[in-house]
Amino acid sequence: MKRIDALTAVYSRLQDRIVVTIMGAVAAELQSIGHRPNFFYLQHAMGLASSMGLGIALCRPDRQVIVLDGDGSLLMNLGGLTTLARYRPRNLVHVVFDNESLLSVGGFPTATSTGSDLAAIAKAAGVPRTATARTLDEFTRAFDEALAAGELTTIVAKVEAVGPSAFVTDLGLLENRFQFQRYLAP
Amino acid sequence: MSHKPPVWASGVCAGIHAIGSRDVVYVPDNPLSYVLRVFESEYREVRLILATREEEAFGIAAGLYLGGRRPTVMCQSSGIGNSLNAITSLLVPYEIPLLMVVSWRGDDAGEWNAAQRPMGQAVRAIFDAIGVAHATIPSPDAALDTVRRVGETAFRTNTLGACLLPRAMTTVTAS
Repeated sequence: MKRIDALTAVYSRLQDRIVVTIMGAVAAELQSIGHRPNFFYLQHAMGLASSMGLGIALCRPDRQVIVLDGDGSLLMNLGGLTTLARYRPRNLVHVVFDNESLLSVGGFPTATSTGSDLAAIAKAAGVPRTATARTLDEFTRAFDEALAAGELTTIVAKVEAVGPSAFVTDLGLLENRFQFQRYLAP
Repeated sequence: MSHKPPVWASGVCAGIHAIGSRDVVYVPDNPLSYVLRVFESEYREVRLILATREEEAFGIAAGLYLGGRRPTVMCQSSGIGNSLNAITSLLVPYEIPLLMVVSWRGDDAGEWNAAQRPMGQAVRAIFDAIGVAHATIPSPDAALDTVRRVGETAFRTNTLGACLLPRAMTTVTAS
């Protein structure tokens, strides 16, 4: 499964939901499919996409929040899984694109390439629903089930370690932030 | 058995409340536990969110802000060291404001742990270097006003403001 195909497959469900992504390939690929004011791209601060998603989900229970995370990023904030589980927002779906590598800095293999299982770690942290998807069909099914379940879910999507040729986009950080904040304004 | 909370702790809570902050994301320490107890007993509408480490607290707070809230982060000065990447690559460039209430370890009056000294001695210079406005609460009676002023400035100007709680104030509790 390629990440861009997974993003394309669920894009229609992202269009009207709050989306927080990590930097690098995920941000660039989602923007290449189509930027929306309800998409926030965390262009650094590795590990904190799930934390930002938690903050939004806690104060906006009226909205469904989708976090698009990666294995390298999540490995920098494994403790955050325990915080997600502790506060257990029912409106948060946490997707981890796991390509078993730090793709944007040269493809160095991460711990998921040597056996660490992020879905099992999330489950053991107390996340009530977890799933691992290895094909596009499995991913779209797991994603739609998570949206319907109304329960905190972490989905680990195993994807190929391929991405776009460039990660830089023309969307400025402040433009992104103010668009997003205005979209979220109660 | 009831204990009257220290004046400085009541002042910190009143200051945070006065600026409309209803979400406090924290990593606790002994002085901050007084503040947390005042929130729990007197400000039930303030949501307290416990993070595993300080950088995570700033990430959660950034989400709360963009969701429409006025978050406060409370941690020890050592935790500012844990958070520099979140502050400089998320809060500063995206102009996400928040109030920090920092229990100051390693200052010149009242530290026993040598491992707290280097960061405690550097924290104000680090705040200066990364553009975080900061004020040291000079006395218990000034806590409310200092927190309110620093917080109001941060949220009005989309910047970061920190209030340092010195040990000489927070550890004098015997009476």
